[in-house]
Amino acid sequence: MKKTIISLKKIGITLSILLLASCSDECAECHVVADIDGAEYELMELGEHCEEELHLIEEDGYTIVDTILVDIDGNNLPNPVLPGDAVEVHCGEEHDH
Amino acid sequence: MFKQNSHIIKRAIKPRLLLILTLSVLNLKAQTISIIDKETNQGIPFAIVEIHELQTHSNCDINGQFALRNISNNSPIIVSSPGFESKTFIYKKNTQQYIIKLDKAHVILNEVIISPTTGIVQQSNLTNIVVKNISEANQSFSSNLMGIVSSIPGVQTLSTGNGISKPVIRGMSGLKVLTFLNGLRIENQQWGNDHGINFSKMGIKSVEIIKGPSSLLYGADALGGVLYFIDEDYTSPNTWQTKVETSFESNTMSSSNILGLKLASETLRLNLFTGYTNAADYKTPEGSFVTNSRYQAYSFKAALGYNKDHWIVNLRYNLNSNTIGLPGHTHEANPNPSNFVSSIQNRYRVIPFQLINDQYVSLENKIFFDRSSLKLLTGYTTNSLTEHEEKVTIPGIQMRLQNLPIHLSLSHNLNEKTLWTVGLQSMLVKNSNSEEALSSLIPDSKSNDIGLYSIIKYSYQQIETQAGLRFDKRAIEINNEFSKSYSKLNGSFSMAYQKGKFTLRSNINTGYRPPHVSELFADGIHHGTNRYEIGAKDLKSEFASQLDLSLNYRNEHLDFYLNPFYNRFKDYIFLMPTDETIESLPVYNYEQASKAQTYGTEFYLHYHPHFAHRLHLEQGISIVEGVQENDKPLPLIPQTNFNTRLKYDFEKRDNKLQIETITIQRSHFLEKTDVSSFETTSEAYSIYNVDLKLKFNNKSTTPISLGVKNIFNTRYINHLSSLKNLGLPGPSRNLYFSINYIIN
Repeated sequence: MKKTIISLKKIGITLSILLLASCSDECAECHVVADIDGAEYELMELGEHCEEELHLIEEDGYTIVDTILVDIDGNNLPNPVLPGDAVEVHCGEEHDH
Repeated sequence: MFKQNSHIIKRAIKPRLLLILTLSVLNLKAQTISIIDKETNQGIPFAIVEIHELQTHSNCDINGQFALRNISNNSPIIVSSPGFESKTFIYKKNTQQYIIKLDKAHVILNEVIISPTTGIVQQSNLTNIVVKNISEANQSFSSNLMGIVSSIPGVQTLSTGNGISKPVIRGMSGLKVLTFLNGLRIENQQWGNDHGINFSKMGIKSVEIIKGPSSLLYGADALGGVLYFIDEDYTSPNTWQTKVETSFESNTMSSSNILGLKLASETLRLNLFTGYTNAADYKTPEGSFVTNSRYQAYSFKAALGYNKDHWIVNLRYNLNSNTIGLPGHTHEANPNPSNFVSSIQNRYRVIPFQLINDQYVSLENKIFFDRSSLKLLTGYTTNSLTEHEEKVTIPGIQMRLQNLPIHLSLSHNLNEKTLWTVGLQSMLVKNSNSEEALSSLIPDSKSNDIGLYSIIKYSYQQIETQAGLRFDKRAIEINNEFSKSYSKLNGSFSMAYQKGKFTLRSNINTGYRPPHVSELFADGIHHGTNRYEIGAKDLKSEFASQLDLSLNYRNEHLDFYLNPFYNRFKDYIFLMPTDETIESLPVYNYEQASKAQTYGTEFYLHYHPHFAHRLHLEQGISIVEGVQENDKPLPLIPQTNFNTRLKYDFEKRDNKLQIETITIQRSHFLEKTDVSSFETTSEAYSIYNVDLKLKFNNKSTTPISLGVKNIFNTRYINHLSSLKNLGLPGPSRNLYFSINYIIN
């Protein structure tokens, strides 16, 4: 019986460690996206943001200050993105395809 | 000194002696059951006794004896033992001793299961329902709940990758299919194709499936079918049990772990379960991985049961927290399939994804009288659904659906042949959108259901009949802008005739479903399905009436049934595509066809050839066709499916590691060419699976299951896959392994 109690205790401790280990900070890579004629173009990387900072950048968005003529890969955009144009900040997308 | 010690010993022994004597008297008072081998007249050691009403699963002593205590009159009891045919009997409180003789099993074709809704053995049910044991279901080559359920003829799944699957019964799904867990109606925004069943097979004992309309018993919305899940039994009185179930699948590199604890005294019982599943993106036969098809799920479940005299109470709680990636997400009109696959398999969370948190609480009370029983089930369920599309911290939509159902029923035996049941069902449902979300797809709403029913069951010689009527009313209120009531009278008539080894059943059932808020007022992007959906305020209630016939034959070598059906709908509601787009997404309108019909048949055969004692052949066939007015096909009707299994039982030996069975399965799906206007056709395909069952015998027996699904790495796309239009196939070859370790 004592042996069983010890093994149950071990299981409990292991589960607690696993549960605690699974609680990590919310972080994501962000980038600026423009919608031109129904297609999305990635304009620039904004780097990794975490927690409150991540929430703020998604909520506040991004303001373009210079005219952008090419996307992040150097390809020409169909129309330039001008200062004041609506752009979106996307965070947490998969980028390995 | 000795005298003093002797006095102390006497004082200590006296109360114990008294207790032993009291227990002995109680034991004498208890009715006993002796389970004996019919051939030898010897008791069968440790035979199993299942008491349906108490949900207990106990073992006899070494002499095959068991004391029956605190059992309600007319409660069905199943007795079984490995190598013997199971038997069921009805407990009567004035019978002092039961002697049950079990026949040695030549072969056990199908186990005896009691229907959780009717309380009688599956084979004796009047209505044509199917009960499947989930805990024994590893044979179905599936580790997830919906995979197990879809091994039943007439049932398939509508899936979005590996993480989301919904039941499809005879071609009906979503709002037309109801789910119950221990009698509690589960509401989970089932209008969305991407809103699957959120609970896992953890702690689930069995599922009962009602195919077709059945509003008489289940109320509004029971139009296409019902899934009724039942939790695992409690352990035997005065025992405890701890178990660990772990499984692994190579395709998704997924692991699933469940820890269970069961405790029971004579009157109080407790079951506790917790589980965690984590799956990465699934691999296609081409070797690429479907991006964001990953998911993870935490779950916790507790059940507390108590019984005294003629009163049984069960308090249950479930928590399910799932994070599910949404694969195949796009705003493009002509997407390229290569954009949805990757050469790398990932499991971390990326957008778009769903966060689903479900909590279910239920309190069930049963009181048994001499000729009657009264049951009251009250509960509360909450479903929090959050979908993130473009922002990780700001949800696209966030909804909370709360449900407060109540079900009161009284059954009374008017005489030996007639059982009368009356019931009252009520349900309050509230849906609310979060202000933190960027948008809302359906508005805040409230609905209130009330239903009254009466059923009479009559038995005469080999004929059993059942007839019933039910009145339902649903009031829907939306933001003080819309308020409307829908009501309907439904009925059912069933008859079963048994002659020798044949049973013939016929059922005429009806069902109704008022339009859902999503169908009335949807106006927004549904990211999970990549659609812009628009509702219609003037939709009427749908109504269905089904004729269902079944012929069953059963002997010691053969078990088969043939089950044709015809289901006619009035004012059938469905989603119709348009040629418009909003925000680059195709627009779908909710529309209503004045008439629609589904028809088809299910066939099942289990043959055990006499010349090959250890061989089993099983064949299941599901055929369903669906057409609306002008003979246009209905959308999302499954492909015709042939499911063939060949199983070999190995001889039992006293080895530590023993091979129990080997099973080879072929699932063949015919091509689908009769498709609705916005669907594409689907090609025929066959999948081959192999499964090996082992047992490790130490202090306790540990079942082990391993096998391969899709052995030949066949590329296939099921007609009901949401990823079909993107050309994304189903999973590639998949090696799996599972072990169920009972600690004590």
